[in-house]
Amino acid sequence: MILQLALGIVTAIGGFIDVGAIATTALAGALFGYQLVWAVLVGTLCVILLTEMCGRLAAVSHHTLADAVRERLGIRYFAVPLFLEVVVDTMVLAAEIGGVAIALHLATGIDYRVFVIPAALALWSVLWFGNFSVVENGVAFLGLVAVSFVFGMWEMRPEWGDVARAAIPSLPSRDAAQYWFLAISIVGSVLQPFLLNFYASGAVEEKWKIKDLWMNRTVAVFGMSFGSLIAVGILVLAAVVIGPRGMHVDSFEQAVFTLVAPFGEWGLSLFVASLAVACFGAGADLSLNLAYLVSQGFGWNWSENLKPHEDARFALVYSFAILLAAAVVMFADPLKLTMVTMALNGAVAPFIVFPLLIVMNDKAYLRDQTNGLLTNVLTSVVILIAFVIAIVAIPLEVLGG
Amino acid sequence: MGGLSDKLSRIFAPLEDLRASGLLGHPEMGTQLRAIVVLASSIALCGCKPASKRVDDALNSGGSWAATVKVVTEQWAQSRVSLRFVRTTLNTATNNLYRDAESIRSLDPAAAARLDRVKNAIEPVMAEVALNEPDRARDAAQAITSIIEPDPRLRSGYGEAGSARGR
Repeated sequence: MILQLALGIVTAIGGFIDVGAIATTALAGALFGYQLVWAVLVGTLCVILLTEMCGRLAAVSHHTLADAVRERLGIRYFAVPLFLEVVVDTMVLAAEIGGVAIALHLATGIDYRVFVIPAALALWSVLWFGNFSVVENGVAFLGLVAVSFVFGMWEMRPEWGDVARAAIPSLPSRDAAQYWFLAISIVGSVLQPFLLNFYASGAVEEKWKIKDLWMNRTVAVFGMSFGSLIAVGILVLAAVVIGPRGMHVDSFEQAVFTLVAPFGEWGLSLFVASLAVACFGAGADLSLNLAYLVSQGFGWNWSENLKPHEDARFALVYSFAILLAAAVVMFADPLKLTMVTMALNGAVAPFIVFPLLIVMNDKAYLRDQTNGLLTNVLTSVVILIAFVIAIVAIPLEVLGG
Repeated sequence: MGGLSDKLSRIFAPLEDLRASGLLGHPEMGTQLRAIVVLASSIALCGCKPASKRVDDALNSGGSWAATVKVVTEQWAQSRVSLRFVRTTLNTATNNLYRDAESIRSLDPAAAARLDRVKNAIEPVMAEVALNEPDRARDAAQAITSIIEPDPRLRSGYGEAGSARGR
C-alpha cells in the first residue's frame, strides 16, 4: 500500500512538470524576480482541489470526467469543452514534442526540427506497445530528475524571506500586461485542463474504489505540492541567475543557466534530461487524454491496457494527434507556442471546470461524497479570476498593452 | 461585397454541413461552433503588434542575447559548459538577432542596424570558439554589451528581490 502511494505521488510529481511549467516559470523569474511565486501557489491549490475531485468522481461513480459531463449535460453542451480541449491539448502536445526535440538540440547542437519526427515516433511507440502502467510509472520515475531544480535552488541560497513574501499576490510596478500574461500562463501551466480527465481516466483504468479515496487525497495533495516545489525552484533559479545577468528566456539555451549556476558542468546534462523526460511524459499523458476524451465522448472502446486492435479508434486518435502535433511544431517556435498555449489553458478552464463542479454536486454520481461549500466557492473564485485575467491579459500582451 | 459574402459562405459551408447533418445532436450547435470560430479568429487577428512594441521587443531581445553571449563565454572559460553548447548558443543568438533585425528593418532602420552590429560582433567570438580559445572568446564577448545594453527593466525592477547570497 505504501509502495502504491509512493508511486502515485511520484507520478503526480512527474505529471506536474512539463515544457509549460519550465518555460513560464523561467521567463517569470528572469523578468519579475520572485514576484510571481504566488501564481504557482494559486495554480497548485486549484489543481489539488480539481484532481482530488476527479479522483473522487472516478472512485465513487466509476465515471471519467468526459463520461459524466456528456451523460449529465448532454452531447449538445459536451461538444463545446470537447472542441476546446481537443484544440488546446493538440497545441500543448505540439509544444511537448517540441520540448523533447529542443532538449536533444541542446545536447547535440543539431536543429531541433531534425528530432521532431523521431521524438513523435518514440512517443507513439510507447503508447502503441506499452500499457498504462509503463506510460505512467516508467516515465514518472525518470521525471524525478527534475528535482534537481529544487536542489539547485537550495544550493543558490536565495533570500528566503523575499521568496516567502512573494507567496502573497502583489501588483506589478511595471509592464502590467506582461506580468498578468505571465501570471495566467503560470496558472495555465500548473492547471492544465487535460490533467483532469486524464487523472479520472487513470483512476478508472486502475479500478479505484471508495476505499481508495484516502490515497486519492494524499496523492493529490502531496504529489501536486512536491511538483509545485519544483516549479518554484525553476522560478527562483531564474530570478537569481538569469535576470540579474540581463538575460530573458527567449530560447531554452538561456534557461539552461538555471542549472549551470548551481551544478556547473553537470548543469547542462541535468537540464537536458529534465526537459526531455518531463516533456516526453507530459506528451504521453496528453496523447492518451486526447484519445480518452474523444473515445469517451463518442462512446467508443477505450483503454491503454487494451491492445490497439481491441480499441482501434482509441489508438487511431492518439496516432493522428501525435502526427498533427508533430506537423504543427515543425512550423512554429516551440517556446512561443508554449507561452500562448499555457495562457489559453487558463482561458478554457471554466468551460471544463464548471461542468465538473455540477457533476461533483450531483448525489446521483457522488452519493455522500459530494463537494463541500468551501471547495465549490474556492474553486469557482480561482477559476473565474483566472478566466478574467486570461481574457484581459492575452489581447493586451499581443497588442502591446 | 457580394464576392466577399460568397467567400464567407464557402468558408462556413463545412460548418453548415456539419450542423445540417445532425451529427452534433442539435441544429443550434452550429451557432455555438460559429461563436467559437469567431472567437478564435479574433484571437488570431490580435497577433498584429503595434510597430513601437515590436521595435522595443526586438531591442530588448537583442540586449538579452548580448548578455547571453557574454555569460556563455564566461562559463566556458570556467569549464562549466561544453564547447558544443557554446557553439549552439552562439548560433541561436546569431539566428535570433538576424530574425529580429529583419522583422523591424522597415519600421526602424536604426534599431535594426544596432541589432546587426551585435550580430556582427558575435563573429569574432565564434572565430575564437572555432579555435577552441575560451579566454579569448570571453574577452571578445565583453565588447558586445557596450553595443546594446541589457534590458534596463531587469536591473531596475527587482534588484533586491532577485538577489542571492550564493553565486
